[in-house]
Amino acid sequence: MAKRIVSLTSLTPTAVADATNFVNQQYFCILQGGTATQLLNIVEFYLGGLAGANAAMILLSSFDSTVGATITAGGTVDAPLSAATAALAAPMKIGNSATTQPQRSATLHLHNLTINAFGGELRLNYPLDQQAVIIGNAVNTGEVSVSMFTGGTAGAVGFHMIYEPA
Amino acid sequence: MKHSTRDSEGVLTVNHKDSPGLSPEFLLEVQKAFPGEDTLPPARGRGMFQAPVMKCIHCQAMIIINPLRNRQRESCPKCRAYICDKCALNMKLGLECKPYTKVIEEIIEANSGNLKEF
Repeated sequence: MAKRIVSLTSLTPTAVADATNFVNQQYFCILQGGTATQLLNIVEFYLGGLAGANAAMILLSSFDSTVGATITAGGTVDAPLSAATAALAAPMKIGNSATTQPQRSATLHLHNLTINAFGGELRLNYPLDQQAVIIGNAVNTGEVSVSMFTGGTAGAVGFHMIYEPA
Repeated sequence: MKHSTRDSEGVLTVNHKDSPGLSPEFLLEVQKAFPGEDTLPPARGRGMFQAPVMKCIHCQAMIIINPLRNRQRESCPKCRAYICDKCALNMKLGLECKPYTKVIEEIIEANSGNLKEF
C-alpha cells in the first residue's frame, strides 16, 4: 500500500505506568489494525521537544495488553504521505482518544524514546525488513501505542509516526 | 538477498545539541527500569547520539548497536539474526526459537479458517 503519517503539533503527555488506563488526548497515539489480519509496518518515529524548561521524559512505544475501543483521532492528524493514495477497504484505527482506554503491556515494549523535551529531538527510522509489524487488532500483537512512562518530567513534544499498511 | 546480520540497519538519532540533554544518572535509572531492553547509553545523553538499530527477530523490540557495549550481542543461530537480551535469556532458559513471522503466520491462519482439524 502507501505510507501514511500521523502527527501531533504539540502535546504534554501524562505519565502512565504499564497495564494502566491511558487518559484521552494525554498520549501521542495508538495504532490498531482495521481487521483481524491487517498488517501495519511502522517506518519512523519523530519526537521534537518544545518545552521551555528541563523535561527529561521516558517515552515508550509498546504493544498494548488492553486494546482501545471506538478509537477517534482526538488531537492527532492522520494523512497519506502521497495524495495519490487509494482508500483502504478496512482502514486502520488511529488516534489518541478511545472509549475503552488502552493499556501498555508491561512485557512488550518496542522502542524506548527517552528525550529531554527542552530542545531535544529523536528520530528512529527502520528500513523495509526491520520495521515493527502490527498484525490484526487483538491484544499484545494488534495495537501499538506511543506514550509517556512514569519517572520523568512531562514537557511539550511535537510528534509524528510514519507507518504503512501492508 | 541478505549477506550479513548488519544488512539493512535502521538509524536512531537523538539530538541534544541544543538542549541540556539527559544526565548519566537519569539514563542509568532508565536502564534499571527496563532490564533487558535497549535504552540510550548512559554516557550518551548529551550532544548528538546516532547509532544503527535493528529489531529483535523474535519480539520486534529495538536493538541499538551500541558502540560502547562490551557484552556480546546475542543472536539466534536458527534465525541467523540479532535478538534482544530478554529473548536471549529466554532461549538460555530453554524457550524455543519463535521468530515473529511465525506469530504473524499463526494469527493469519487462525483468522482465515485454514487450520486443519485434527
